Amino acid sequence: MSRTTVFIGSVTHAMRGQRLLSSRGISSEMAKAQKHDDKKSCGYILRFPTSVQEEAFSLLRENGIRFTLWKGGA
Amino acid sequence: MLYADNAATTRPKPPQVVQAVQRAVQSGANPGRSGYPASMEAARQVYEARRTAADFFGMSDESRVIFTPGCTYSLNLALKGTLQPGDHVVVSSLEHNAVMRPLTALQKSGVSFTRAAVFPGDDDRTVDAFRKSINGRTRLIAAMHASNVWGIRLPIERLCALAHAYGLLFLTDAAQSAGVLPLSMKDGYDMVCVPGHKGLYGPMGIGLLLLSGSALPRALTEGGTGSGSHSLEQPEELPDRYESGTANYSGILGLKAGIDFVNARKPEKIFASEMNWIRQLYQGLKTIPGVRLLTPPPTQAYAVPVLSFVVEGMESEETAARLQQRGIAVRAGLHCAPCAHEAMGTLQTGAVRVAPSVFTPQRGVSQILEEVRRISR
Repeated sequence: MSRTTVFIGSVTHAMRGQRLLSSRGISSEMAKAQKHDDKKSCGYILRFPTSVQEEAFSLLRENGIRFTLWKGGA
Repeated sequence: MLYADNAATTRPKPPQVVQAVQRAVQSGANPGRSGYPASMEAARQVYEARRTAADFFGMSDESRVIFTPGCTYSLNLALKGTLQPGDHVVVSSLEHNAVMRPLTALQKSGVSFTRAAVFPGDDDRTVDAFRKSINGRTRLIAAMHASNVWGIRLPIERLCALAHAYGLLFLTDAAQSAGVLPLSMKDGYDMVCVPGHKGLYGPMGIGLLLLSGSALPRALTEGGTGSGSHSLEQPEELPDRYESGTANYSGILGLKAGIDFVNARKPEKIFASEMNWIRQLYQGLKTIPGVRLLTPPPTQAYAVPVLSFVVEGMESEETAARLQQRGIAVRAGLHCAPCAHEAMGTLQTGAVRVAPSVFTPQRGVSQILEEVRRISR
């Protein structure tokens, strides 16, 4: 299954994002982002099925959770 | 010993709070800093504590629950982070030094304030006094939820509505009410400052600042947050904006256990039971010659379970010392609230304060009455 990964800077928002996704029945995995680049050091990644990507993006945005698409490792 | 100084801090703490603190100290890793399991688990537990506090205070967004070193820090952050030179604040006449000292310090940078009188049992007059104190430069109304000396409950719902009607922010100091009185951010409060170690039964050294969507004080401290480390600028996102440095992990977990304890006991039942205790004490003290009570009989609508009294002709510290000799722990003096004593005319003598907790035995009422009778003879 294809997965989408987003980067969220704050651990609180990453966990909040995971809770919000779960409340919509979207399962996700959370981990510390391992591969740093210049702008995304120290943060967390949230990974969920690409099939629900648009719903997940909307939910995160509606709740003020800032994220960017993550292409680094985790 | 009969411990009746629960307005200072609740004692003892519930066993589950002690266990939570102990576990955190023994096995905790730094939350939100690393990816190994212990650090991730610690971050998860801090998040769950934040979520628990958010639920308890009617908040949907837990990122607006800010962990602080205590209620005093929360008040300093709210006041100093919000007020600008030229701003004016309306406060109640009963405020604690945790509000009055920051405001007095801010006077040096051009902030001014007016103390509005509180009329126990007459909320209309109290609200009117606040209204009359508002001027064209007023930015904020700051009112304690309940007096830490007299147990007088302020009509903060109405004061908040008053503030918003004038386009002002509203801040409340919930030091003596959190865990005892209903307090929901759904009622529109902009900033609520909460101690962890009183009515929420957590350990000392942990508190909360609850922020609505309309309040965003400047941070008083900057530093590492475990987020956005590439930048030398403090993150804007909440709660990181205010939570620099390693979290008080054991305090946070202890606070969560305390809130769970209060939830299990139900705050309304705690309040009813403690009010019953304090009412009995009031009625008994009223019959003792030489004892002066300065507030109306405590009722659920206008009071919290905190009561202060004076034994005529005796310094309050002496009364407390005599009670202490007989195994009763109370607090005397000015309770860090000279304004509250000035309002009641007890600035010279101070007063003796008694406050129960869920662990205070019923026999404590008769024990205190017996000793006060003996002292006042």
